[in-house]
Amino acid sequence: MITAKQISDRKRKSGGQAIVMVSLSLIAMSGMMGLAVDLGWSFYVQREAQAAADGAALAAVQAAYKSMQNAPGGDVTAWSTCGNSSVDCQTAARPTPLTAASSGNCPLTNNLKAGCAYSSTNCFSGTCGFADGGLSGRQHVYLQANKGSVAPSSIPTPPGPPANMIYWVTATTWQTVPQLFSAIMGNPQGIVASVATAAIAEKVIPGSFFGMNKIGDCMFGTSTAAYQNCGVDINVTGHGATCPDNTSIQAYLCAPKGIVLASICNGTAQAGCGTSPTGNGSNYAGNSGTVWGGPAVGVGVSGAAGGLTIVSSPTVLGGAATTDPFQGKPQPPLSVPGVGGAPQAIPSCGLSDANLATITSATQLGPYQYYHYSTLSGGKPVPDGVQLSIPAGSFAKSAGCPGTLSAGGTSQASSAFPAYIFYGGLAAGNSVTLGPGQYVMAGVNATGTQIMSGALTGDTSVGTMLILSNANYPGLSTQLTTVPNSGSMATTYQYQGDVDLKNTSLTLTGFNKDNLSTAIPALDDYDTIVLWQDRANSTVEYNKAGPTPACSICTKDDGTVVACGMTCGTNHASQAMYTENGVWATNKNGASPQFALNHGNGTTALNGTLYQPRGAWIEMASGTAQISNSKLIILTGMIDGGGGNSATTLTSPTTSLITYVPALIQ
Amino acid sequence: MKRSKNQKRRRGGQSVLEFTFVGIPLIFILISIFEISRGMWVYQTLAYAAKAGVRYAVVHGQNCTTSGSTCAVNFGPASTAPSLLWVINNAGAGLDITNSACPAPPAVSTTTCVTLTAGGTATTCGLVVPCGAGVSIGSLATGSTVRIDIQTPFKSAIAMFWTGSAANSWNSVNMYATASDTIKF
Repeated sequence: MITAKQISDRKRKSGGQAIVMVSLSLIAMSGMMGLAVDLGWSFYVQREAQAAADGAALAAVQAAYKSMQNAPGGDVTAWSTCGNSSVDCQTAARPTPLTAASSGNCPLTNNLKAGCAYSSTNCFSGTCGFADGGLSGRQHVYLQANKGSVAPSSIPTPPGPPANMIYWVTATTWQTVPQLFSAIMGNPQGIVASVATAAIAEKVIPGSFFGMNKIGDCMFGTSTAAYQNCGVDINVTGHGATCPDNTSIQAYLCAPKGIVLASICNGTAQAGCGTSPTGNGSNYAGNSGTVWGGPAVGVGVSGAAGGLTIVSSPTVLGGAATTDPFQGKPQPPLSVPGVGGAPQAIPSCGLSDANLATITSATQLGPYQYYHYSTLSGGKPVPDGVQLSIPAGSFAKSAGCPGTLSAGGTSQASSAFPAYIFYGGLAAGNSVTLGPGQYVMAGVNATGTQIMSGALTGDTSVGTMLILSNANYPGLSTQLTTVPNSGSMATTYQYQGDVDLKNTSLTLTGFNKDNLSTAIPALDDYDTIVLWQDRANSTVEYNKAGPTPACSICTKDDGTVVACGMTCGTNHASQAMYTENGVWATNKNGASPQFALNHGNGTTALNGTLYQPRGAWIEMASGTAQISNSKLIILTGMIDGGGGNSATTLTSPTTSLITYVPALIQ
Repeated sequence: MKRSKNQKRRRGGQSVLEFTFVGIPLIFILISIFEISRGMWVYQTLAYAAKAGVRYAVVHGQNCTTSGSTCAVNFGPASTAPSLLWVINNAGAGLDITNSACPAPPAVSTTTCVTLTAGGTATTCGLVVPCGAGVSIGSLATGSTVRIDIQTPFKSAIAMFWTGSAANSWNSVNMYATASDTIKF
């Protein structure tokens, strides 16, 4: 018999049971909801924190990189001495515009404040403010920077940071996250943190042959066809030669590390491609010639251009990958800027002193400037712009000669890599040995050829860097005014002439900064350069958009647009160029930007990087003109060849093209 | 008194009936909350692991193999730091690590499997299944795309209500997460 009391007791008991069950399950449910809601939210915050850290680190490094580019000479090592610096974004003032970096104003924190600004605008907004008005909240951004030789401690080893960094910034972001449901489980607060490191680090650019689209790299000549071949990067015919790295391939161009073409000309009508050689203009390898790009090295393939058979990848046509890796880089500065010196005795150098004169002013570059003269005025030679002729033998190696300075010689900032300037160019004898250094061919007779008729053999340790220019090469125009009687030298003798090799050979190795006895920071960015030929000594001017319709408009490297006055419908090679100083470079002729291997047995063995920015090109005559067995990287506006057995047979370069980039590394 | 007793009995039956009508869906909802929460947790972990792996890959590209740099990493194995799988394993704490083979996608796996697509080839490895070094991230040029697909079986109680086939059996659904980026350095 169940009494009413018992029933009500049972009811009460089962009611209590429900509360217990609900309470117990609520705790478990809170835990689960805590997992889903609190941790889900934490994941979301973590993603924001990571984005903020990435943005902050990269922005701070970009700011440093920009200031390096603005530094005198665009010296990329400007921040390599900047030591430890750090910024707490919550107490930092807003950044002021960053000026060019120098060793005198580092460590800098201003670029780090730029990082703060980015983290603020990217994700950690509002609460990651500045001292002058931001809220101090739960979000924190802390930036730390140091020179590249000190490894960032945030990167675990292995793998560790990359080698050869200039500068790095580590951004740490964290936020305290109050817990909603997990608080019941005794976890009232969580911390979410992210770290990112960006650095200015060495970047290797893959590729053996780079064909770039510059406004001036149309074929030179008197063709009536407007824009002939302007957008074309390769136009070759002939039988070619066996590729050294793959003897089963007979190719006109062997580029074992890959071919990168900016050209998009594929034989269909499109702006900028010109009319030759195949109607609408296309990259072309005719007859039995082919072009070999080596085995694949991971560069994407986007198809071959019409008329061009590129055997094997990697080949890149068009697109961001074909941006000039040296874009914006000025011509190599002189290794010995402004170092004066006493007159150098010429005869002891074994040179033909009848052809030579040195400059005697102590305010000038040094003793290594040469020009041809034929008459004297007031006892001083009058330069006549004619090429210098050097008899066969050793140049810059004899006792008392530049390069091996004898006792009593002039002081020299970097004797291991001096600069030699030849006004009028150089015609070498049968066999001339060049010592290590820069050889600047500065101006020639308007109708003349810069160099070279004899065999030149260069230095293999520190290397030899040939620079083909005119007398307005940066620094030289002021030097020229101090050349005795230079005023009587007609401007037509200050032209930039083309380079013509005929029945000769060049055996040169590019600049190797690692073998310098004393570092030359200004040349750090020009490692491996063996030959540098700008179009008409210009540091600006090509039109990324191609010659039509903007044939009167040019785009500078920095993206600004100027009126360059190209006349529509005429051959661009005959047009004047606009230079970086805002003046028209008129001292050139149509062939000036040409590096030609002429009929006969002109051959080269060049190790390093051949760089023809801003629209210079390579012209191969028919016959056996060859760039042969060269461990070379070629960056040019165009390669044009005329058949026969002429060929460019590159072997795998021992060095790689290196540039410095700001990039995330952690 | 008798009537009252009868009423009580009738009500008792009612509450059992009510519990049957209300309680079963209630328990179902309760289990669903548990399982969906757990599912969200697993998916978040999965997505985070994929993202962490891709982020690690894009900052250890080809430039880590040149100029004397030694910061290049391989895809695996997961047991050895530093590797991509090691990073993914760390980021994806709590994921299924049953030691069973990873089939090539799109086949459904019975353990957590990671597929790396880079340089035009796809490689599939498990988090604990013995797996070699695989693709070297250092062979990937700047700008090339890296993609990581992760799938893991999610054994859920609510999955008992529908049937599957083979590896995707009645108590398991497969979750997928994908992340992709281009090599930065």
